[in-house]
Order: sequence, then structure tokens, then C-alpha cells
Amino acid sequence: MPEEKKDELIHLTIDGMPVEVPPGTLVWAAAQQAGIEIPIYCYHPKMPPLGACRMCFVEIEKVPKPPQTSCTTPVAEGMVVHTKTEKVLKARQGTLEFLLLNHPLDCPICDKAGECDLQDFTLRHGPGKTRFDLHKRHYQKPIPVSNDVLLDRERCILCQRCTRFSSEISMDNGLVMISRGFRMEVGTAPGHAFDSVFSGNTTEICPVGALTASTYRFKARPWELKHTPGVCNNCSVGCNARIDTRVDRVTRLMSRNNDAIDDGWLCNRGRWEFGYVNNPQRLRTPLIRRNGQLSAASWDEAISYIATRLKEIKAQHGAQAIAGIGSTRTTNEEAYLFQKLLRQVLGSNNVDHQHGYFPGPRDQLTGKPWMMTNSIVDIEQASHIVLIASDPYQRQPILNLRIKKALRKGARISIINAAETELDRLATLKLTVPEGASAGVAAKIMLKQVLKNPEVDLTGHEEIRTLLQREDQVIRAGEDLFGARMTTQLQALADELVGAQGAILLYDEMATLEPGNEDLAADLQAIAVLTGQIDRPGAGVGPLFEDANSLGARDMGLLPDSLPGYQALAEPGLDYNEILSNSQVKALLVMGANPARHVADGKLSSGLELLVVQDLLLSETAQQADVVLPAVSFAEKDGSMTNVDHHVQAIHRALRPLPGARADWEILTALARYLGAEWDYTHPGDILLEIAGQNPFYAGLTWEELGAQGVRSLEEQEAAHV
Amino acid sequence: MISEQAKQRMRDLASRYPVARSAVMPSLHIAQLEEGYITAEGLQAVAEAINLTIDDVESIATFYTMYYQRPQGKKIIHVCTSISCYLRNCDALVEHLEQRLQIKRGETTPDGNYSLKTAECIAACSSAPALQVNGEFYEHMTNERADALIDALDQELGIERRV
Repeated sequence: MPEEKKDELIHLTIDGMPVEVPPGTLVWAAAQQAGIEIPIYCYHPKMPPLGACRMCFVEIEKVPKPPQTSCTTPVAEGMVVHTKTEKVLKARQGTLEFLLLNHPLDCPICDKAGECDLQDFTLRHGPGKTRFDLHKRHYQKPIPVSNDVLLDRERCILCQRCTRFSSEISMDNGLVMISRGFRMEVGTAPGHAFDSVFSGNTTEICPVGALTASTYRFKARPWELKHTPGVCNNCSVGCNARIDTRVDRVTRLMSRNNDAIDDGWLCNRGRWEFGYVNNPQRLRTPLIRRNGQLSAASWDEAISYIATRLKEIKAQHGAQAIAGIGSTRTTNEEAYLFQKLLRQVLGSNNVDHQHGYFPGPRDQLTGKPWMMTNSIVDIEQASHIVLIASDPYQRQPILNLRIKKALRKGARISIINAAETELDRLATLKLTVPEGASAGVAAKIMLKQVLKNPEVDLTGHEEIRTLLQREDQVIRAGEDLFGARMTTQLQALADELVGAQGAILLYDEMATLEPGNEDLAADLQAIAVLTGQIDRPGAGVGPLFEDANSLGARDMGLLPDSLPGYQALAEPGLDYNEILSNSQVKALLVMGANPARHVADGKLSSGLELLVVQDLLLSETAQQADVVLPAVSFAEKDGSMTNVDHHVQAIHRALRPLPGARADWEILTALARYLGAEWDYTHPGDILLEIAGQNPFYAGLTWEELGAQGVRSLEEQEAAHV
Repeated sequence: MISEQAKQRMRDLASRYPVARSAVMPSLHIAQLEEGYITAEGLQAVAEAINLTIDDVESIATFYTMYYQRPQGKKIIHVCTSISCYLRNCDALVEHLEQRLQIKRGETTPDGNYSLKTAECIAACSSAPALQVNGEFYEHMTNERADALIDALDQELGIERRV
């Protein structure tokens, strides 16, 4: 096999060095691979070449009219490239001298200084002086192109990376080139803001300081920043990010390319919404309620108080009076320990977290747990993508870019949603769910059509027909609400899925909680199974989860009806809503959750004798607590998180933990020990080993193996290995 | 105001191309015909008719010099300044028109009757120097012929000029 591949490679020589690359590779990329730097501004590996900046000149033997732009020239067999000839160096110097004619020398106050390509290339390739002794051009600066992004037109070198990001990648065409020739500038339509949720990427790919982020302006010098590889904590996509910190504060998140997940991009929420980490209101000491007031206590005091009260309550009311609500944003290790504390140490199955509605821990039809069956990369290989009651642009933004990548490859996008979504403009089909109807009914109408389709093989799935027949009245009422035209469109879409080369159906986890959507997850799963759109490349179905570790929380058994690894419990504990409403619950442990937001008047049950809250800030729930324990954020601890397509990824401590606060796994370990358990974890890696030993979805994983890009682990894959 | 008919013409154009975006330039011409120049409303109408963002349309409208960003005179004079006309002294012709109309090249008379512009080659090299008034050619121009042309246009526009 490697022999064969070798034959396909193109052989060329760059600066006397033999290089082998696949056909179609650009000379610039081939040189890069050989470790030869060719300076460049306009090219970006995720976008098609443009050849605008005239910086990447090389001389290629036998090609007339040298020099050539290496970013637009594909390699050819036997090509001989020179990157350092006199002609090339002169051309580069010329380009740089022109770029610097009008470029202001305000580097001392420029955010980009220190990580600026114009600075670096001038140092390495440029002329040391200029022949231009006239006045530089001046513009009003900076001007906002949105609330988040500011434009300095004097610094802009017109490489068009930002505008091509807007047209090619985010496809919002919000940031464009205005005018032409020497008047050309980056901009928007008059009075119009570039308000894309992806706008922050332009500040990162800008090779100079022309586009800067309002949140980061004048906050730090790049060389003062410490870089730590991390994972964004703000939604379930789990984009890889580089956390840049300066003196115990997060200053910004930058993208850290992972082709399988984020494809090199970050959304604005991921990039900039870390204010809670730096929040001066962060809790720095445990608090115990004394005489109705929360007052400071030592860790020993707080933990021993909780342990004593838990023992008392258990003795008085039994273990079933204890319940726990875990987090969708803490690590797998913490979620695992949380349920282990409740189940093994305290003896209660009343464990849950906030999530959508799924019937049972696993889908009955396939026996698979509720998660997206396809990978994120599969999305770009799909021929049909159906977004039903989901809006990735708002909720899992980077998936929206992956869907657009599929769109560029010709995928048909269908959107079924009551609200307008950003993708409507580019969709093949948009069906607005009318007032009174639901996405759930739309799914039933489609499922009914799939069952009617003669090409669908129902063998072994006859029960679906029986089940759906019971819903006939609901479907008929739904068809009336949708009207004849939309019903026909839904049916046509269902028929399209039957023959589709690869279809992916995605719904939002939280949409399953809306009235009429009770069967949404199961019905879509049934559609995917019956149409054969499952378990093959470019096909799949599943929920888009809300938070960074929503799926991990499920995997770890933060569910009343299943143990870690979706091992169903014969006698389930109380679920999220029951925990909050059942007066039998006397002690409630809350880790990184805010259930007070989900009860009618914001007040948790007055029957609670002990409410313990682990959190970063004094949330609505923490304000009502008997004991509050200060926890640390994702930027201050190690651990693993599981994203929406089941990539298990490592997060690393980027900051010193806030003094006085502890990681949730440390808190849980201390509490378990006070309660008499022999827990001796010294690092989340120890806990991961224990998880890997029991949970088939994590079998064999080790902390070291997670590396920089994580591992996509699925039960099926593990089974195949064995 | 962009009339409903104009918007319909844009939509019809869009449907005639395999990719609707291809209709952006003729649609901008329709918008300009309606209002004399490209207004915010014109941008919006084109963007809606062919499903582009308003920023995208602005980018195209500002790239091409024949889409006007400001209101223009009733008569738009384009004097060619490319090589053949240049050799036949178009500079003098432009200066003469500037004197006669009391505006500089690129400007519009305060009464809104004339805009004077220079243009790259208008393909009338054999009869240089040449100019266009609202797209119509006037060739072999001299200062006298230019005066006569403006007189005729004045008359057409009903302008009384004191000499």
C-alpha cells in the first residue's frame, strides 16, 4: 500500500532539496512541508488560493516570466523551484516596500505587534529602509465593523483573507472589499454591521493589525501571553482552542486547528465569552449558612459539616432522601465521581442533570445511546442535511460552518423550524412550523411517508407501523396545521431521504422538551433506520447537545435510570424534575448547575434540609444553599470532556486555580473521604483510568492518549478491536 | 423608489441564470435607471431580488465606476482620456468643458443638469477625441463643437444662459 501511494506522489526540487507531495499541492505548501519559509499574506490553508498579495514569489525553472506566485502554482513532476534567487528576493523586497508605503508605524500601540506577519516578514525578507519620503495616507481609525471587531484601514494590506473568510467559509458575505484600485478598502454596506457570530476569526487570520477585537484591544502584548492547549467550554462542539493567559487572567481564546472538530475556526462565543473565569465576584471561600446568612468557613469546616448533615439525613429519612444534580460543563471525571458519590457512598440513584427528553438511556430501535451517530466530518460528506428544531448557528455555531462546507460540495439543506435561522437564506427548503404545530408532528408526517414508501424494507420493524398508527389522529391534525403544501413538501423530503446518497438528521437536545416533541428523538431515529441513513459515511441522526460536556454527563451516568456506560437500572431514581419537586428529597447536592432557574418562582423546595452547591459564582441556586463550595473553571484544571460527536478531549490547566477554590473532583474526593470512602485520586488521569476500566465507551483510554486532539471513542469501535 | 416592475425585472433576470448571483450587474443597472444612482434602497432591492447580502451588492456596486454612488446630472458627459483621445488633446477638451460648465471633472452642476466625467477608452479611437452624453457618441470634438453641443443640450433642457 505505501508503495502504491508513493507512485502517486509528485517529485520536485525546492532549493536543491528533493520534495514529494501529492498531486495538486501548491508550490507554497510543498515548500512549507520541506521546511522552507515562503512569506505570504493572502493565502490561508482553509481557503482557495487567490494570489493577491504578491509576496510568495519563487522562480521556477523553464517557466517563462519569473517570478511566479507559489500559492497559485500547483506542483508538477520534475519541477525545479528556487525561493532565494536574486530575482525572487528583489521581488519580495519590492512588494514589502510597497506595502510599507502607507502602513503606519504605530507598532508600539498595535495589538498585533509581536505576532504580525508584516513585521516578521519585513525583518526576514524586507528592505531595511524606504525610498518613500512623502506623507502616508491617513484614515479615521479605528472604525467599528461590528460591536466586536474594529477596522484600521491604514494598517490593512488588502490581502482579502477576512473578506474571503466571509464569502467562502462563513458564507455570510458580510465583510467585503469596497471600491477598487488605490481606493480599495475592507468594509460593509453603509450603516451595516458585520454581525456574524464568526466575525472573530477575521481578527485572528488578519496578518496585520487591521482587524482587532474590541475585547482584546490594548489588553496585552502577545509575547507576555502564556499559551495552553485547551478546549472551548461554551457549547457541545468542543472546538480546540489555545487559551492565552496573562498574570492569572484569560485574555483571549485562539483557534487550535482540529480538522475533525472545528476545522480551525472558533465562534465569537467561544473566543470571547470567558468573562466568568476572570469575574471578580468568583467565590474564594466556602460558605456555610449560619443564622440565615451565608458566612465564610474553612474547607475542613464546610466538608465536615456537609458529611455530618448527610449522615444525619440518611439516618433519619433513608438514602432516598438524598439527591444530586450534576453539571453539563464539568469534566467527565467530575461527573463520574459525582454519581459515584451519590450511588456508592450515599446509596441513592437520585442523580440527574439538565438535558433534553429521551425515552430511556438507549434508543430501543437500535440499542444505541442517544447521541449523534455520525461524526462532525461526516456532515461535510452528506448529500442531504435536515435541521429539524435545531439552529446550530446560534447554539453549536461551528457546526454551521461544517454544514456550509457540505453546502459548497452540493448538499441539500432542509430546515424545519418555527423560527427564522441564519441558514434559511442558503437552504434548499425551509419549512416554518406554524403556530400550534410542532417539529415533532413534522417528524411524524415524514415517518408516516417513509412507511408508505415501497422501497423501504420494514422487515423486523413492523412495530413502528403499529406505533405510528396510534398517532394517526395527531398526524392528521398536524397535516391540517401545516397545510397541504407544506405537508406535501414534508412527504417529498421523506421520500428523498429514502434514496439519498447520505442524509444526516439533526435536532436540538432541548427542543425535545417542547410540547409536541416528546417523540421527536425516537421518530427521527426511526426515519434514519428505515431509510438506511445510519451507520455509514455521510449519514446519521442525533441530538445536538447543549453544553461542553452534556454528552459526557450522560456517558458518566449522571442519569437516574442508568449507570456509567448506559447500563440500565432496574429501579431508576428520581429524575431532574422529580428531584426538584419531590418533597421526599431532604438533601440536595448540586455541582455546577443552576436548577433554581427551572422551578416556577426560582425558589427550591422549602422541605430541603441541606442544599450544597459547588459553583464558580453565587448563582441563584447557591444563594439558597446551606453550604456553598467554590469551584474552579475549565481553564484552571485538568480533565476530559466529551463533545457532540463523542470526541473525548483533554483540557489542561491554563491558569493557577483561584486561591481558595478547588476543582470539583477535589471537592468530591474530599467529601467522599469524610464520608468514609477510600478515594485516593491524585489527578483526573487516575479517575479516567477507572472510567476506562468500566465504561465500554471509554475502554482503553488513558490521559496520555488523549493528546492534543482527543480521541473519538465509540462502543462499536471498541467491540471491533476485540 | 424602486418600482415593483423593476424588482420583478431583477427577479426575472435572476431566474435566467444558472446561478442567481450572475444577475447582480444588470440588476444594479436597473436600480440605477430607476433612481439615477445606487441608493441604499437600490442595494436592498438588488440584494433581495437575487438573494445576496447588501454588503455583497455594495462591494460590486463600488467596484465598477459606471454605478454612481451619488446623484448625477440629467446629462452625463464622459470624455475619453485614453491614448488616442489623449494624443488628440482631450485634456484641452475636458478643460474647456470644465470652464463652460463651471465644474471640475467628476462633479455635477449645482442645478443638477450636467455631470462631467472622464472615461477610459470608449472605443472611438478613429474619431478621437470623443465623448459620450448619456451613452450617445460625439466624435471629432473640438472646443467649438463642444460649445455647440452644450448649447443644444441647454436648449433641450430648457436652460437660459446669459453670455
